[in-house]
Amino acid sequence: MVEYFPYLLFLFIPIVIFQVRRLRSLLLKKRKACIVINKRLSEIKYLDLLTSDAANKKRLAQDSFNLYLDRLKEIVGWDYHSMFMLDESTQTLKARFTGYLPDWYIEQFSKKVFVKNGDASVGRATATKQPVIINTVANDPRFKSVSAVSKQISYKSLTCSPVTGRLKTYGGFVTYSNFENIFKVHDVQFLLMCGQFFGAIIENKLISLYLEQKQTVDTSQKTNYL
Amino acid sequence: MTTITYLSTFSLISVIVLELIIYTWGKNLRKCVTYIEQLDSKLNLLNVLSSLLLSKSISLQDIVSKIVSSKYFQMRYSALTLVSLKIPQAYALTPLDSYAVRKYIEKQKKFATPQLLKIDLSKLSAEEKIVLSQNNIGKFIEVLVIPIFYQLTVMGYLILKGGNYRDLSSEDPNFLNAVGESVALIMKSVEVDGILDAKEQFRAINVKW
Repeated sequence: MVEYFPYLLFLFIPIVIFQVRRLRSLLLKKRKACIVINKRLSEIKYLDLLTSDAANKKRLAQDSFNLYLDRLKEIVGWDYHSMFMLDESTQTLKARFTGYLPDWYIEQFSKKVFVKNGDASVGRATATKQPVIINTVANDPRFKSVSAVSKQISYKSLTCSPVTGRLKTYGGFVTYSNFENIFKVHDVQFLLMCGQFFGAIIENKLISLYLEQKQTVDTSQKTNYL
Repeated sequence: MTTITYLSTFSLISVIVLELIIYTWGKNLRKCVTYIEQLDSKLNLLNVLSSLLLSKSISLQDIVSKIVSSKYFQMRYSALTLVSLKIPQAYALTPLDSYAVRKYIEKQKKFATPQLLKIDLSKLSAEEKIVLSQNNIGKFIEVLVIPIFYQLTVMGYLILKGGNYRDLSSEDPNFLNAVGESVALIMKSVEVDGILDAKEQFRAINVKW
């Protein structure tokens, strides 16, 4: 028996090679799984932040949304974020809030250049109430009009989601990345969910404000009457 | 013993050790995949709630049925009650639900976070026992009470009952808070529908934000 033992070496070597390959693939899969787990946990954490702040009466929309966009980068990721408000009278979109974008961006897109509802990426998302994904800014024909902006800020891909409430569409919300092909289906679904929460928060703030004003008017009328 | 014998002994040991490592790592990976599925189902529930935020004229029954039909609920719980303190109640509370709420309020002196209650069924009143014995539940039951807060006022409670064998202690507080607060937003919109008519609601939102 013992004299045959050395010949087993020829059997063991391929088995060890096969096992090392399996280990390598397991390691890669585990690393991917850890990345996914961290991402999902951070997404839940961000949604918790949104929902817990939704009913915050003291914070105005201006402060809330700047915070939401900054925290989106800090907690979940991506490089820049911006939110556009739909002006229904002119059917144009104006930049309202930005996260980590240079100051000239909001200056330009809120005062000088207005995106028509239905045009460019954010306009399409707002008009169709569906997300728009541009995975390579340089090649996409939908992005020709603002390619100079992308070069200046150096983002390479973006996703636009509509900001929709129960009663109407309030605008669009854009997430930019410095890398190409970064937005996956799950990311787009998550951003769409964020857009829905943003819409609900805006609506909730506006209705609460209206109810407060109505209550104040009613009270003053009652006092005048007395 | 020759060198080749040493080498083959060493290879045999490596094969066994590597196989053990692969088995352990594979087990860990399976755990990771199950955890990812669980996290996905949590995000799915939040997605369901966010889509409820967009629907017009919904009732409490809609909220309950949407949560119950979600994958997350199906995976972990056996029953759900939505207790509303503001909107006229659509459901009669079962004795266990009212007992859970009472116990929760007793335990929480001030403002509160979601809490897991292990209810000893033998401590229930005679009337409560009659109903529960009909349902043939074990000696203890785990109930998760999520308070629904809106601007520091309690609007209601979400009571989730686990199956007899489920361990609910590992729930993520961030997620439970997000669920409670999303339900609060939905309930607020139901409440607003009762206070303001459609015209007034449009007047309220047609301003610069």
